[in-house]
Amino acid sequence: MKNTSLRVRLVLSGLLSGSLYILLFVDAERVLHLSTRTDGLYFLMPVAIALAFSLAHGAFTGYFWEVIGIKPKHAHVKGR
Amino acid sequence: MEELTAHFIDLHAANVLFLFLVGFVGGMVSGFIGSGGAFVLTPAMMNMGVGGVVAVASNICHKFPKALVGAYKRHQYGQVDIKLGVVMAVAASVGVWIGADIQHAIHAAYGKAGSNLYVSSAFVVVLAVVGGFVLHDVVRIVRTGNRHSEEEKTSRLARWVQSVHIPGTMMQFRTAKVRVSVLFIIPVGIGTGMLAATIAVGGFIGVPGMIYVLGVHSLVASATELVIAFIMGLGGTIKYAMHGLVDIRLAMIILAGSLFGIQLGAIGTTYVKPYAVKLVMATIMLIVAFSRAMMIPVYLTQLGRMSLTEKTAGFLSGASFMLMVGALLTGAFIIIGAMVRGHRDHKLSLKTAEEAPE
Repeated sequence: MKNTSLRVRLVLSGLLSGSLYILLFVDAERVLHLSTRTDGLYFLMPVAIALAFSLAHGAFTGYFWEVIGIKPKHAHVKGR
Repeated sequence: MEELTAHFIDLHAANVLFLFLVGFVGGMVSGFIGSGGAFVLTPAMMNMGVGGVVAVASNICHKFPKALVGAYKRHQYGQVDIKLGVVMAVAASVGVWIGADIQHAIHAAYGKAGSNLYVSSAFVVVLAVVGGFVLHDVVRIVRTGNRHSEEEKTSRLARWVQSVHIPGTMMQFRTAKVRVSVLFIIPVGIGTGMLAATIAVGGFIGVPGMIYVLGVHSLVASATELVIAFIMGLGGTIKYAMHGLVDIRLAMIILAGSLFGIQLGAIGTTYVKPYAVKLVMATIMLIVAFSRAMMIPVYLTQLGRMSLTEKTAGFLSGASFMLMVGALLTGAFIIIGAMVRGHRDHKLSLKTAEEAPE
């Protein structure tokens, strides 16, 4: 049951991440033009795009390693 | 738009795949030691025809979301000291400012070749000294048979720093488990920022500085470096974006690979001993120092202080770039090897625990 839910999350985050990449590259020239404008608040566009991609693609890559069985060992940093 | 076409390149499948792969390997190293990859990405993009400043801007733009994901992941493992990261980042911002001013002054006085010579010399001197020091510590750990220990011996300098109490300046860091005066953190942070402004990888001073000067555990230092990289990267991206220099396509392609890598590197830290972080750091630093040393005769020739044939200069440039890629790959192999061994030991210990009589 847990594995199914994890796979659903992987697929959903993968779709979201994939959609963002399609949106970026389907009209890359326009996105590039807008994100390199130096007037107004356009300078925030690269920051916003990077943050959106980090959330969607970050979630996808996290689930990806978990689904294929690469998980962290419960870690504690030992004191000195 | 005319200016744009001069700066931004057309993308081809081979370029995209190469950036994705370098992003992945660089991300893995960053997730493990807190920094790395940037020193290969900027020259790699420039080799593709991307203008230097656009390469730097796009590199920084992929760096801050990558560091954010890495910091979040390692925070989940209890390795990040956010307070220390923020204090270091504030000091590092001052360092970036000083470092950038020095860069501008050298560029104004000696031109592009002089600036390149300065950057390469900084690479060689800083990485050889700091990398040599870290390697010396790695050799000591191996000799004393403490490779498999979770505990770390605090350096003599860090013990002294922690013993100095300056009223009104003391700060307690809970995750790092240290109490030190902010007056010692500031120079380490400024050094980190100055190196970041010079060679784009501040972590080569930040992480060893936190370990050997402040007495922070290796795993906490490398994880906290990601907080510093996030804050500095965000500031740097805004600065470059205000001048319209970020190629968001390049940044997001690198990010696609690096987010796979950073998660893997972060998971790796939960399986390895602190010794592995130091080993990867020392190996990468020393190979990169050697790689940049190979470029010094090329820049001296450009400044008219030496004489090399065009063929020799071309060979040295190519060999230097390949060595940098080699440094990253060597780091990645050590990380994967350490992870596999750590995972196998962990499984073995679980099996032994299961089989042990109640």
